[in-house]
Amino acid sequence: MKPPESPTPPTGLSAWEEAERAGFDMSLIEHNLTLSVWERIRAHSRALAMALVLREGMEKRDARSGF
Amino acid sequence: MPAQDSESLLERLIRHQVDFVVIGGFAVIAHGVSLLTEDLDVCCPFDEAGIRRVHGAVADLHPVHRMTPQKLPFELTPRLLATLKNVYLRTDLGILDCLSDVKGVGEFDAVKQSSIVVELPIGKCRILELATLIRSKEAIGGVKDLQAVRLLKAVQERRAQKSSD
Repeated sequence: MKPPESPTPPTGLSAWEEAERAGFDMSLIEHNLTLSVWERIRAHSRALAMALVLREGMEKRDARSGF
Repeated sequence: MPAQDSESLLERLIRHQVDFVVIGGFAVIAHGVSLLTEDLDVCCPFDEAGIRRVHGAVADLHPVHRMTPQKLPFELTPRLLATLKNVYLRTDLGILDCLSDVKGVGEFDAVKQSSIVVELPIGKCRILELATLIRSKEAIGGVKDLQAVRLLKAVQERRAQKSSD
């Protein structure tokens, strides 16, 4: 009897390679893993603050242009 | 809208002796994955003492129930103390969501059993451990959750390799 087909055939790749193939920048994870938990939290906060500043700038720009 | 200051919210929860476990996107960050999250999610007991501690930690931060259309203030009433199971707050320090259970894991006791203690400069704090975090994110199954699962599994694999070296 033919075995049932797996919905996601095994690729033979590791989870790390799968993520890389999916387009994730694994060098960021590599770097994060060298940091302490607190350093990761601080780095995330800085990135979030920057993202929120950029978003606010875009919202102001869109409001001015009536977008 | 106030900027998210999750470190200060965490510090307040610790200082007010709230029994809690960091879950969700912030736990993902703590395990080393770079996905931005705009809130702090914790699981905590929703008995009267637990709710009073959460309230005490944020009472001076103008907390409101962010999911209610009128943004009702987070005030403790006998009815609320008896019925509250989750609380979704907006405060002067950003968003704090407190949940009584975690999908794929269970209620607070089960969540606490599956947590690790980390020492931070602001005090000791519990974070959902990696395999359980993966399980909960798989159970939730949203697009961002599944992205996190992919990366958390890579982290899990790397840790396993390191520990076998």
